[in-house]
Amino acid sequence: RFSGYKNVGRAAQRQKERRQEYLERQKEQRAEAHDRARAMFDDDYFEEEEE
Amino acid sequence: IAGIELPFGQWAEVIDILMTNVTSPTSNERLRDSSLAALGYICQDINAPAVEEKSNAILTAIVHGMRNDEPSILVRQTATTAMLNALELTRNNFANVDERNVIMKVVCETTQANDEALRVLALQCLVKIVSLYYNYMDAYMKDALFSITVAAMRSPVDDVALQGIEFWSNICEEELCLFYQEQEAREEGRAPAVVSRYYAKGALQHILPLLLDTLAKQNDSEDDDDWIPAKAAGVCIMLLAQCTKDDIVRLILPFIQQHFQSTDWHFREAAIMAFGSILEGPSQIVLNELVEGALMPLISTLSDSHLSIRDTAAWTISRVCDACENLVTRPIVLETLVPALFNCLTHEPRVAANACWALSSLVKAAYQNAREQGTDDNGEPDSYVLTPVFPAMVAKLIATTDRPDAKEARLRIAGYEALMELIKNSPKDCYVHVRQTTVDVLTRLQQVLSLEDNLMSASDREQLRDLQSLLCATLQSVLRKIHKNDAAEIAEPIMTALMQVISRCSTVRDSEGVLADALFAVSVLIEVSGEGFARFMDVFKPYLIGALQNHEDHLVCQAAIGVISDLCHSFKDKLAPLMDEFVALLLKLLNDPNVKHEVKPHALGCFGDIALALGSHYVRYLEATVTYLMNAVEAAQITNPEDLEQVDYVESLRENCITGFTSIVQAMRDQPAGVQALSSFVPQMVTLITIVANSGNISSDEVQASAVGLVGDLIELFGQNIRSLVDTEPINGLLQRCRRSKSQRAKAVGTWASRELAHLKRSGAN
Repeated sequence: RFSGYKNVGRAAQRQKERRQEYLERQKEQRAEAHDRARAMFDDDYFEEEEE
Repeated sequence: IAGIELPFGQWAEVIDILMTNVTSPTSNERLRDSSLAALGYICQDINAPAVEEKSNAILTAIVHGMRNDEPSILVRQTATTAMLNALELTRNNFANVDERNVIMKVVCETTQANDEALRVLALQCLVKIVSLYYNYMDAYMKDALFSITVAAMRSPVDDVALQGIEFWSNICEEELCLFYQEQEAREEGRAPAVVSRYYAKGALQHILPLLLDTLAKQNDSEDDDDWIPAKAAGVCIMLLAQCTKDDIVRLILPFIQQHFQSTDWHFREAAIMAFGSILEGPSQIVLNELVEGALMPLISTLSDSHLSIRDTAAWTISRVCDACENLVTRPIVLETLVPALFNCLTHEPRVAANACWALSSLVKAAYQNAREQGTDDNGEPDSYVLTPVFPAMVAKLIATTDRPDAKEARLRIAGYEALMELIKNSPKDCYVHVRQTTVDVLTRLQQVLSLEDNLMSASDREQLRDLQSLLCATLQSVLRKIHKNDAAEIAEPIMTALMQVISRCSTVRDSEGVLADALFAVSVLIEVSGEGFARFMDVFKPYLIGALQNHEDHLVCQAAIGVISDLCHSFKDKLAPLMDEFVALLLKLLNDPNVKHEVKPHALGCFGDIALALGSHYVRYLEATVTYLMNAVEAAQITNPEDLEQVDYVESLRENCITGFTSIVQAMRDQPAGVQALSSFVPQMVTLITIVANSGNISSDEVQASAVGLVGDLIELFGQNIRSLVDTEPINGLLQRCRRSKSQRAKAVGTWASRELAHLKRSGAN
């Protein structure tokens, strides 16, 4: 409970967030690499489907 | 001994023996007391079905020991301590109304005991019960719990009052959690499992005056680490504000207005504290109205004569900056606010630390505001309202971290955190200062590295470790901002310093945090330098391998795995010559039963990054690595949804397995031998996708998006061969959920994979 008082727990929280942000960035990199390998973002993908 | 034997189903009779020792009329005080103490330890230490099955016997003994007519206070205290430890194991007893009544009756009666320590223990039981068994509390709240806890809050004994306040803080936390669960259930069109009874809202008008009274009973001493009712009351008001939203404002405002300028500092501080405590919860309109009138008087309290008031005022301003970005970033406010905060940086360490946090919040607010006005393609605004004071802010923050008393009140940490926030939230026209700060931070790191050997005391070493960690973290934030050409120029001295940090960590105890932060900084440098990082690989590799082999320190291992992933993304197949070694080390880590389980999913995800880097050449590692992914699918089961640690671990395992499989499937596209080898693993991959499909909202949008992405990739690779495996009700349901998701990526990937499946079905029908 003490960590909720004023800014007592904020530094630990920020450190946790920084490590989380780092992991998130890695996940985003993976997701981007996966999506790049798929036809989903090809300009003509959905057009071909419409045809 | 019971701790060792009971989990293996041995010595089950020990509980009955101890129970009989407590309940037998012939047992003396010492035997009753020791037996209850033993039961308490057993409940505390063993989380095994063997103990839960015996909860009736345990409770019989404990209730017997707690009852009013037990003549020994010592026995009653020990029994109540055992009750506190047993509460988690009595889920079944709480589900039964008669048994629940017995437990509640004895605990409530014990809160009225004459012995103070016993009263505190019984109140601690109530605090825990309300968190564990909130949904059973209706029958007791009005007639017993409310009056017991309100009386406790009024107690002149701190330990008793603290438990009374804690009870209501726990109620608020439960109800906040239920509020979010109800919201989630509503969005998904289902009824929530448990609903809030809004006890906090109902009790607000009765408990708030007590909390406000308590708020003004601060210690006159300046020891900031004591946990006293005044502080607990502040936290409780914060939680009440989040639960009751606008309702609290009307009730608390008279107290704030009456005491804001009181001549008694206790009330002046309590008024500011009360104001700061309600800045999260109420609606934006109400908050703006509240802050608009109070902001300038609040800023003037930063120069109050009393230390506690300046301290609380600086904290309150950080809350105001978080809550009302538009109000604090008006030039007319900044004209007064910024110099006042700068001035506070020279005050006592605790005031200066809160001023640092206020500056952290202020720069975030200003950057957010500027972003809303428009940014470039990278999401950076050209300028912002703090540009004119930016260099002064950097200089003053750095000077603050240099204060000889900066180790007090966590001031140094707050100073570096503010500096990091400032760099992170800097617009384009402050870049020149960001670049200079990179050089300054590096110089500091070099100075610190030259210091260490001469230091003697353990406390100094700890300070130094903290400082190294902070400097590495600050390097990460400046490197993220720095332009590529500038990064190339400064990469060498940065890398030299980081390797020195890493090298020292291997000889200094308790330095895993520093080592991890240094590795995170290396990761950012790899990301910024790209293939330019190659020049450091020869010297860096031994350090990286050392960190990967450091199985005892999970943070270090995890950071090292992250570095390999970043190398994969930057170097692609140029990393091939090093891969045998990296894969072998990752396999070794997965095989080590002593490695903390939360690290292993990251190793699995890393296989995927290696596959993405090597493409079809990954085939040489396919057999060896996929087996681990398969085993992980088996392990990715949630057996207890209330065990949040387990839920997080399983989610991480599923996520990393799915992304790992996806990368491998994509890498094998042009590798017939790989496709052939993968085909036998498809049913297991589909099992994993189906687990995610059936797990509903336990899986995040990202995991669901990744799962449908894998569906699409499998269809692309295996076509009609796997149609019956993927065209199932759960997977179709998952695809539909993703198409309708609020997450852009889940929507896009869901739409794409659905079309792949539709295409497959159409072509199969022809």
